[in-house]
Amino acid sequence: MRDDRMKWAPAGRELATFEGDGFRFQCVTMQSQALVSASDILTRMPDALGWPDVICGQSYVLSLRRDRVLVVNGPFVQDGWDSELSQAVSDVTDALTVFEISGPNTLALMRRGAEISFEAPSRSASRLLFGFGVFAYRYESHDTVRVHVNHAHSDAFAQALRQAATRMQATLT
Amino acid sequence: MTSYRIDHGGLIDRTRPLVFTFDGRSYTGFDGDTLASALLANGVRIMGRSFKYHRPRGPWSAWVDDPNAIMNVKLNGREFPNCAATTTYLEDGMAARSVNAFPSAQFDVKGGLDLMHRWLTAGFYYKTFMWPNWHLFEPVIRKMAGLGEISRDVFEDYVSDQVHDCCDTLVIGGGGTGLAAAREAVETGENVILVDDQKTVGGGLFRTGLIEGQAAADWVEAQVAAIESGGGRVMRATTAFGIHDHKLVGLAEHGKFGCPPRLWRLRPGRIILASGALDRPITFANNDRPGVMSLDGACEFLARYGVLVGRNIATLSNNSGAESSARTLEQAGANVVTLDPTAGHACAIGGKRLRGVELNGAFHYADTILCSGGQTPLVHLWRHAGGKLDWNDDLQAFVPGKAPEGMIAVGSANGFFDLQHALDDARAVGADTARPNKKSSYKLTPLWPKPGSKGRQWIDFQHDVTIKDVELAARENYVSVEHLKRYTTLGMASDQGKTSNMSGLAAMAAVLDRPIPEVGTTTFRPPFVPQPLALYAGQRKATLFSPLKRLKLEPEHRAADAALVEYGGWLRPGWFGSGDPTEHIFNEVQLVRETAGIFDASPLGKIEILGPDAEAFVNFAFYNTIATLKPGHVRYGFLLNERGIVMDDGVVARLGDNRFVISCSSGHVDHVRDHLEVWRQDCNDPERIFVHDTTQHWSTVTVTGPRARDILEKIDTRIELAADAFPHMTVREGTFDGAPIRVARVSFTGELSFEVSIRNTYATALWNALLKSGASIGAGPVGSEAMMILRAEKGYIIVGKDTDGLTMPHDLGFTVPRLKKKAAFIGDRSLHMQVGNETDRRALVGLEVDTGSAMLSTGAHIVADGSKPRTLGYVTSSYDSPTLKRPIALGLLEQGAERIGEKITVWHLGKTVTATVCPPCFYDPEGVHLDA
Amino acid sequence: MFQRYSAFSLFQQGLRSHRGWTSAWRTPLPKSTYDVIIIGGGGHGLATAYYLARNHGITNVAVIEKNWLGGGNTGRNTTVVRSNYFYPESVDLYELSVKLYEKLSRDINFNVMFSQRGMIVTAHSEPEMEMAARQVNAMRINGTDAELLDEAQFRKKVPIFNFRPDARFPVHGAILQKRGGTARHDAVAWAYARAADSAGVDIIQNCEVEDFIVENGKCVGVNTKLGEIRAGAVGVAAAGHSSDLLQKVDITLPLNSYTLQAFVSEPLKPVIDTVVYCPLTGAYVSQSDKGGLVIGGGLDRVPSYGQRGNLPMQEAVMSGLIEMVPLLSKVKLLRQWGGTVDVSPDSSPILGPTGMEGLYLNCGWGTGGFKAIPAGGYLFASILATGGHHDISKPFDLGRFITGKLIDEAAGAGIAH
Repeated sequence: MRDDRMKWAPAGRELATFEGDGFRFQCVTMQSQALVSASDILTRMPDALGWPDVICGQSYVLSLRRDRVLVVNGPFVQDGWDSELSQAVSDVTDALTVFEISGPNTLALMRRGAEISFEAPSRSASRLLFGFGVFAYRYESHDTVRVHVNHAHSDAFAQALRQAATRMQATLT
Repeated sequence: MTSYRIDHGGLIDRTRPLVFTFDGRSYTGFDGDTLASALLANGVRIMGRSFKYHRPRGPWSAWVDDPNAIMNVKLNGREFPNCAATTTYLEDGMAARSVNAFPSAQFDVKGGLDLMHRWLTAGFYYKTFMWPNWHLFEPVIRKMAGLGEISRDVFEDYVSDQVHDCCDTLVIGGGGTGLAAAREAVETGENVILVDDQKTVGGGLFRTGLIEGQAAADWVEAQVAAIESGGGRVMRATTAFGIHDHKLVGLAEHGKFGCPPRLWRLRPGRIILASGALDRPITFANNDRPGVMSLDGACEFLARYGVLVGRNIATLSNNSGAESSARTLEQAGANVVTLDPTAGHACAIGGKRLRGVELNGAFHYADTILCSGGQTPLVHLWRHAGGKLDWNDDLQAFVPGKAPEGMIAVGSANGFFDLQHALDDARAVGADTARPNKKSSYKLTPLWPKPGSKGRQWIDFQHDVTIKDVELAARENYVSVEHLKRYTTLGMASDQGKTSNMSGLAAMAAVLDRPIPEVGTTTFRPPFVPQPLALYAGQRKATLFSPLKRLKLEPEHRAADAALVEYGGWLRPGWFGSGDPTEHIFNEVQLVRETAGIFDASPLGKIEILGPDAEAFVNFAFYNTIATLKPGHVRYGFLLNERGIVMDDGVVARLGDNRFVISCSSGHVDHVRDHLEVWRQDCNDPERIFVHDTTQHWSTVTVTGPRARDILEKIDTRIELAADAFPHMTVREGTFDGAPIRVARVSFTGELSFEVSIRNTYATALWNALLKSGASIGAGPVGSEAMMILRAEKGYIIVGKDTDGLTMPHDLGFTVPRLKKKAAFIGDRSLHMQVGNETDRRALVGLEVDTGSAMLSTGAHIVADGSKPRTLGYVTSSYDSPTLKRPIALGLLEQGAERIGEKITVWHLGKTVTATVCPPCFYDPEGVHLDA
Repeated sequence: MFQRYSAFSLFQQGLRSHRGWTSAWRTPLPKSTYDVIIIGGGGHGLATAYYLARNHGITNVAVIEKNWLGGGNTGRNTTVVRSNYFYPESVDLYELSVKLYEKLSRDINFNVMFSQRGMIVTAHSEPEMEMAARQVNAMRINGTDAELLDEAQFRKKVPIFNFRPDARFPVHGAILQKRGGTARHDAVAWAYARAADSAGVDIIQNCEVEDFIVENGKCVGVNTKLGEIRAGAVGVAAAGHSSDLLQKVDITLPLNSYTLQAFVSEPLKPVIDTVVYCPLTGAYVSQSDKGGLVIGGGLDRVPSYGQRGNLPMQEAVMSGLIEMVPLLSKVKLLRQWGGTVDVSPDSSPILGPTGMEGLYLNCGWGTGGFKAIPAGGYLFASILATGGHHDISKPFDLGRFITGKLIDEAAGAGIAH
């Protein structure tokens, strides 16, 4: 097999905070993230939000699909199948790296990687961004977005974002 | 000098002179010039050569429809091939050179090819070059074909920005009608984008006199100001190059020369097409001569660049639009004689230099012949979007017919050539009000190519297609428009037929004596004008192309001098140590067999199945019976696809009545998860089964070897590790450092193994603790290469390596469920298809080489002896075994189970060796080490 | 009368301004009956007609085409010809085709510009080199040419490939089939049309088949825009439209039709003189004799008859190509187009009887029909002439989807999908 240690920049480097023209990009630590699935989960958790809802607070619930949500910083729930509540719970805190992009050029930057606008709503926070399956939502303010990315691809995602920012900032003149 | 710069006018900045070269000679132009306008200003007319006959070529027009002035252009050390001189804005220091001409466009050694034109007609190459075969002639033809040379340099940073956007109304075209429509739309409150492919918007307005009482520049400025102050966006130098399904419009925003254009993927609510129309050539004898140009094009050169294309101009036109153009040129200082070509036969006189035009026998002196054969609406984007075309007899043109959803055409693109009418109509469309009904004052006498008339008459200037070629095509029955095009190659040059499609169609219609609309049109395809591949590629390259997944423990591995390899979509340690890997891997195998190795197994899948039907579902998904698996226990099994083929193998652990974890192979996680999500909804009740992929939440460290228990005992896990308390193929839960861990006794090496899983946050602490504990007894980290050898020594398969897309579980020795499992499972019926029951199926076997021989090659075939070799199977895994101190191999072999002990022939790249079939397990077949 | 093409006749005709050339094919009206009707005037249908005449002496044949001949996938592909397949059944099939291509121009007197410039498939890791070896061995054992190249040998063949340190997929080696290459796609259709026509075959263009005529469970002809046409045997060679046609007689084929896009760049002076496919980027490229780079990639994975394709796939293919050959980023795309490919479950063609007497099938070629035109025609002619299979066509019978004896090339390469 081929030794590619020099080909790939050491993991972790891309995750550092960086600032660009009209945006800031940083990693955010979550206390907990849990997948909760049930056939009627969205009726049970009407507060589960999608796009372009502005989500506030420390704990909140993301709507992912009609039978699944992501509970962020919620109270502790045991992993497994809860037969009383008829719901499946899995701790995925360390499976998802969370990034926060803020600033007036947040949406312009995200548009480098997804067809996304505040006028096109979605019940789900799931989408593709730069080719990665992520959960994305507005957080606290109108020009801040949080993005949950699969842990193993967090470096690549950050790299894609940085490169897109470079392209965005380079002028054609 | 025929063409020259007049001392006033144009949109150029005469205070900013720029210096450039063309074919080695130096010239001066101004900021705002294109290469073509600057060369014409300097009296240079010959800017290229035609593709086939190498006839001299000058620019036909001033913008995208020019097929002739193609150049390689170098700036700042980077040369771009095939630049259209008419659309390349001049920059200081540009070095342009003609393509497919040597040594220059002015004097091309291959100009002599024109003497052979009689034989180099359309399709001549189909009739010859057959003997002895095409290969004899191809190299010469290839060298002669092609336009520009391409630099072998990689242009770093020539990477396009790509962005998505949306708006309410997109107006394509910033001429008069586009501007008027956009302004109205903005004033109704819409979010409007207007795109125009020129640096200065205004389209052809600068050719006209006053517009609604204002000078063109002022009128344009007023519209732009109104649009922008109303929140609309005006995008200049931006080409709408294609419209795709669901109104996805591709825009290429161009910048300075050498900058990669920006791709916009725009999704508008509605599209107003104001793309204009092109002046049509007239087909007459020698109409390809330099100096025969578009009348509108000449007026563009004058209006935008202050260049008069000739001093003594003869105009040939068949329509009412030409008169004002002739006057404009006169006012600029040219002598103009207007001629009517509809009544007779015309012929351009002259070679590289035009001397005049002969019309019906009468000679008229001219250094320039300007033609206007009518206007052809630019309907490319309309057709991309699926809009229909109607033939308009008055205009002798195809105009937009039935509209695609959400799209509307205005202005000359819609066949409205009266400016005021077009403006009123465009405003109504912009504001979404009723469109006025007015009759056009535009008059035209049909003037089309006349087959059979004298002289060489060009249809496609770049590809050198003449009327005679169209006649030939008709004669040979290539009469459909697509046959015509492909046989003659008309319309297939870099201008994609902008000037040749109509005349080609009309010529064929005349030959067939049928109306033009019956002959049809060719298909319009994106891109409207050629776009650099970089536009489409964006930043998807190098490590951003299919990026690998990264391990949480990667920093630890790097610190331990790991060689990181790409496997199964992850970057992971292949072995530890620098330099030649062989010895490192060898030592790691021995370490595991003698002491223990510590291995990062994090990529292994951890897909949880939860719910009241979890047991039934897992039993349905797996080949093996899982329903009888008790909580705390682990079972090895196969996932089959519907064809009964082994898709993945892995272990299933039951954590509770309603909870299972499937540990599928690392490279297949996404595929297995998707497979399970599909099947959960089919033949099962999705309200009672949930699939949670928790793979990336966990890091897994495997401690494997006879001393594995000792290592684990030294760290505090709260788990009873003794053999009787924790047997092979069971799973226990505990804690480490306060965090929950799961430990499974599962082995991929054949040694006592513990797979310890912990959430990523604690992974480093766990890894370091195990390493420290291991170091005290001489154990250390091992990589995937050693693991590959260890598992092969045990005969443990890798799906996709030791199996292929035909392998069923009974080929691997797992026969019972196929015969005995009663519950339905994915693939069950397929296992009993005729092919599943055949007795000569390929089964997994081991292979031993003759004593002292080298190891077998993976990929070698096992062949039946005989006059013609026949494949019986393959060598799928092959290694020099450090444990057994000899080569070992696994393979798939027809009737393998019945051939144990047989000698077989192995064929590889023409050479054969012999080997012996043996059971596919070379080490500890009783599994004594596993149960330790 | 068949007018022979040659350098001499070209020279002679040139002196007479080419007024002496006659039609390459007639434009006949259909008769009311024929011995054989072939539905589909693409490469396969036309080749079938030719081989019926040439190999079986059956000339009372009509080829019925709904648009203009050769206007479907035959005129829309990326012109690659190769037989680098894995299973002996496939190698036999595609090798027959390559061998027929080798002699085609001279046999039927029309230069199809078959250029055996080599077909290369790259390998980018040790496991891939092992699979490449398995493939090379398969080809050689089954009687066709194949070589396993190492990195240095590959570099000599394709010097413009990406050998940079930051290449995402460093090259370890490649499979080379020297006898593979390209041919001028339109010319193949025209060559067969002309040859079949001169043997007496009626090529009926612009005549859509509306329905089949079935009597007592046997197919005895077709209903067309120009009326009823009867025949002893009817063969369907309609590629992406095979499914809808067969639906008319309630036969459901295991096919899905997708759009496959193809691309050509502006003409350039020669930069590459072979065909290269990189499985990891999913793109392949060659350079036509006119100078344009002919580029291909994967399907637009949405079932469609649109023949258009969309932007995401264009971006995927171009980024794949640029990763393979970064210096091409400055080259301009001239045109893109699409065809409708009929994909079968094992990506191998379907040849033979349909189950309805008198009705036969040649379809399911998916993305690989062009290279197989001569063989497809040769074998389909045999099937139509004899009512039964040729040895080479037998494994591709429709019945294999019931017995399970699929010829799954991707599976043979190890991918369980």
